[in-house]
Amino acid sequence: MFGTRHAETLTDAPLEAVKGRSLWQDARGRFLRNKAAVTGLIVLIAMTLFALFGGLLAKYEPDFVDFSLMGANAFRGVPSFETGHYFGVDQDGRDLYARVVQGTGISLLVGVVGAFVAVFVGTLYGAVSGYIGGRTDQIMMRIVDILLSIPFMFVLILMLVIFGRSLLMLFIGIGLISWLNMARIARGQTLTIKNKEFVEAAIASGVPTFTIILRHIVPNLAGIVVVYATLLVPEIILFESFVSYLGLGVQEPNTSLGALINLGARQMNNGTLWMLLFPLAFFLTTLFAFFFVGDGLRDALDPKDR
Amino acid sequence: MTQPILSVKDLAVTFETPDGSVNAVKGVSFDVAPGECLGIVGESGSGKSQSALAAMQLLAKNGAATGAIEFAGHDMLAMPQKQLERIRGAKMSMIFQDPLTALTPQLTVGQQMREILEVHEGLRGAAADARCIEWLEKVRIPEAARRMRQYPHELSGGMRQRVMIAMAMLCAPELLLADEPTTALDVTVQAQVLELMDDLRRETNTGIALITHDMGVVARMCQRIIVMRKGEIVEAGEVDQIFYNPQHEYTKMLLASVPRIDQVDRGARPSIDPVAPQDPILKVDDLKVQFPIRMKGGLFGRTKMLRAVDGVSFDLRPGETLGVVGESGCGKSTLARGVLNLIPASHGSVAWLGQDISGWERGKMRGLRKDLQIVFQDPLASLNPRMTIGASIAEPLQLHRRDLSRAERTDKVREMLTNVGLDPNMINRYPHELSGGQNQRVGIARAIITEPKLVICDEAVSALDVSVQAQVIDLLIELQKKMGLTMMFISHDLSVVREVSHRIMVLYLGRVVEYADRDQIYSNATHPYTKALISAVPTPDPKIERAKTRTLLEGDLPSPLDTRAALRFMPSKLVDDPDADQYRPKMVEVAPNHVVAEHDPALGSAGLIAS
Repeated sequence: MFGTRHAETLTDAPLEAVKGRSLWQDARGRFLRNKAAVTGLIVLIAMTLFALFGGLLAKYEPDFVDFSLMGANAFRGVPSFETGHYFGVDQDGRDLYARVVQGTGISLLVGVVGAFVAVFVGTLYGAVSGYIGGRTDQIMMRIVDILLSIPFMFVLILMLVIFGRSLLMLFIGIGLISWLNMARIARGQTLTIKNKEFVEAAIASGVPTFTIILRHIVPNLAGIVVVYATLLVPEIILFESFVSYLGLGVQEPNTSLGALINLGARQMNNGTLWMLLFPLAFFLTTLFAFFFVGDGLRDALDPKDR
Repeated sequence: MTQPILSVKDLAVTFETPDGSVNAVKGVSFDVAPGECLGIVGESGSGKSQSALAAMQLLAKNGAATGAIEFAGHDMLAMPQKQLERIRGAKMSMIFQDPLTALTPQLTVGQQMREILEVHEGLRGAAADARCIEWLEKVRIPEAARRMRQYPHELSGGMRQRVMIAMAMLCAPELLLADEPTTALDVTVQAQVLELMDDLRRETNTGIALITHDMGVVARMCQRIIVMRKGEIVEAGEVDQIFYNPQHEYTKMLLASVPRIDQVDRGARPSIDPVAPQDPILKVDDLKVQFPIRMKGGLFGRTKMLRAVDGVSFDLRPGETLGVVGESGCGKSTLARGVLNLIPASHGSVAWLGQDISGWERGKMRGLRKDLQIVFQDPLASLNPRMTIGASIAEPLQLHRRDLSRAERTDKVREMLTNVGLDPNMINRYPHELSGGQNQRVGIARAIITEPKLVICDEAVSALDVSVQAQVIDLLIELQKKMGLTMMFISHDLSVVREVSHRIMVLYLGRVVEYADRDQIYSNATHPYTKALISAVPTPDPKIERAKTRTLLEGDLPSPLDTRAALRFMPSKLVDDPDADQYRPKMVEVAPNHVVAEHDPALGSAGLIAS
């Protein structure tokens, strides 16, 4: 009765393009609407530029000791544009501005490298453990549990004492722990993804197990991994600062924000409060910026929110 | 006509989104009279649900409604919140699609029902209880007093939806808005719930606005219909007028797309060819798939075997389609996975081209995967969201046709996209950029790109709108003709299965109850379960629906863990112990190619006992 007519309507119906947005486009929109997160991102970019190029503005090398200021820090080493010590000098007469540039750089580096190790090792470990499941999963996750139960600060301190205090040792130490929680998170997420139909479709097509993990599981972990990594960076920076504060972290002539805060705090009674306040301000700003960005990313990427 | 209880004029609903405003409903007007059932029909995205939510003033925060909604003389749009709260749930109530999410999980049924009475009528204690129990009994819930103390998860889907209806009816509302009330339910349960709603409407003179996509449900329930598309009413009228004399092209198209259980003629659209008698390509013999389920009891608990598939045998000839029908939990999806060795079978054999493949490991199966493919139910979930559709389709080729270069692969994918009716330029699109129907075509393309011999369609069209569903079925039939595909078509929808299958197998709790040629099953069903299943499917034809005598199944699907459940149709052999080994009804050949399980006489069917 309406054979040809409806054939026409049938064909035009599905061809109307469905305007879709990808997860990422959607997330970007939500992220950009979050003012705190955007401010955090701008601050982070500024902070990175400061760490990379801030040294060009410094009038002194970070390891140059101004012996003329010896014993007169409190009144002649004050922050001032005239002397070129924008942030003043530290207790040894070194330019605090150049030191803060250097410290910010090292702190960011430690944080980012630690997070990178966590993302790389943790995601793969967690995805493999979660996807294969069964006894393999049990063993792999119990190893993580055991490692997590060791008081790592203690181990790290021992390592730094035995093998000597160096930046490399610090990286190794932080790298060793940072991936543990990531592995747990990646595993949990994998457990929900592996029951999705597209994974079953891949199995039904005969895709080998490891290819499934790399091609179908890991890319779908990206959202949660990115969020966790941004929240992990400040955690590691804090961790490094604590180690440095104990005097075990970064060694002279290198420095980090934690070490600078440590030195500044010791001089608090001598009326040179800027030695504490400048590194502290940079430290707090960086941490807050990272937390806000991480928070913004979590809100933007959290699938439960939609 | 009597004074309408709800009168909607020029309703427009707009949502503010980051992409700009979306006009979900554009100037819709309709009335609902007391004691009348108005059907609001449309496909997904037609704005039918939003119209109802606007009438309840339950729109999402970013939505705004304009126009006029008058309910019993009150203007709903201008009403202050306090007054709205007094009307909602008391004079106007709503039934939602998913009865599990619409009930609060941590409150008992009784607590939720009493709350309504307390808020609206100040009724408490024994008086409230009595009223609740009275309504639970009216919606035919057995042991109503005990159910009051149960939590929603302890009830079955059909039972929950009946509780929802009882809750909606507690304060004797003048208007009931039902948003796809039976879409999430099995056909036999749907038939019970529809029957109940129809009775309530007659008894209490409540006006019902029934929102649905199912033309059969509308034909069964409604006096008047409005057909919506993209936020506008395309046609409105009496039910007979819409069904027998549709004016608008869209209505005609919608009606033509609906598969009919009572007729096999597909008009100008493609239909299946008869199969030449040949040796079967696939032989499944006494296949059993069992899952261990942990139960309480003892120090460490004990395990009980859940028999998801319990001794199923069938064979498939090349170019043939086997329809597998059954309600949720009958093991039809498990059967598909058991045949493909995606789930290990615990007993029985699957012979593919004469070779027993059951129990093969993944690595050994890999070589066979080229010939055995599957299309899944949810088109979006079965595609990796991070891969372009081109990459998804090419994946099986990458594995099974290593001789092809990258360029040849891309050519093949483009060719396949054309074959399944998609634009080859879509090759770099992501699944979320396509509609459900388009994604399902991608799923089909992925399954057939290696030119398999057997394709299993697991509820492949169930998640699609009727018009899209019809197109995908057309595509499957055409591909079968072109490529000589052998198919297993699994669905809960008996009308769809009728269109595509040569033979049909009805499953009940993992066992075959009837297995016959297509027309044999529909015209000459012998088993009471098959009969009830067929009778429960609403026909999109109001006259047939009114004349139909229904054979309704009583109660819900029992737990498959209880061995007594399998003997629901043969109580004469029942041993009343949930763990006992029960009698297995034998399969009897009542006619050539027509096998039926033994059963006692019930529901208008004669008994059948193997001699």
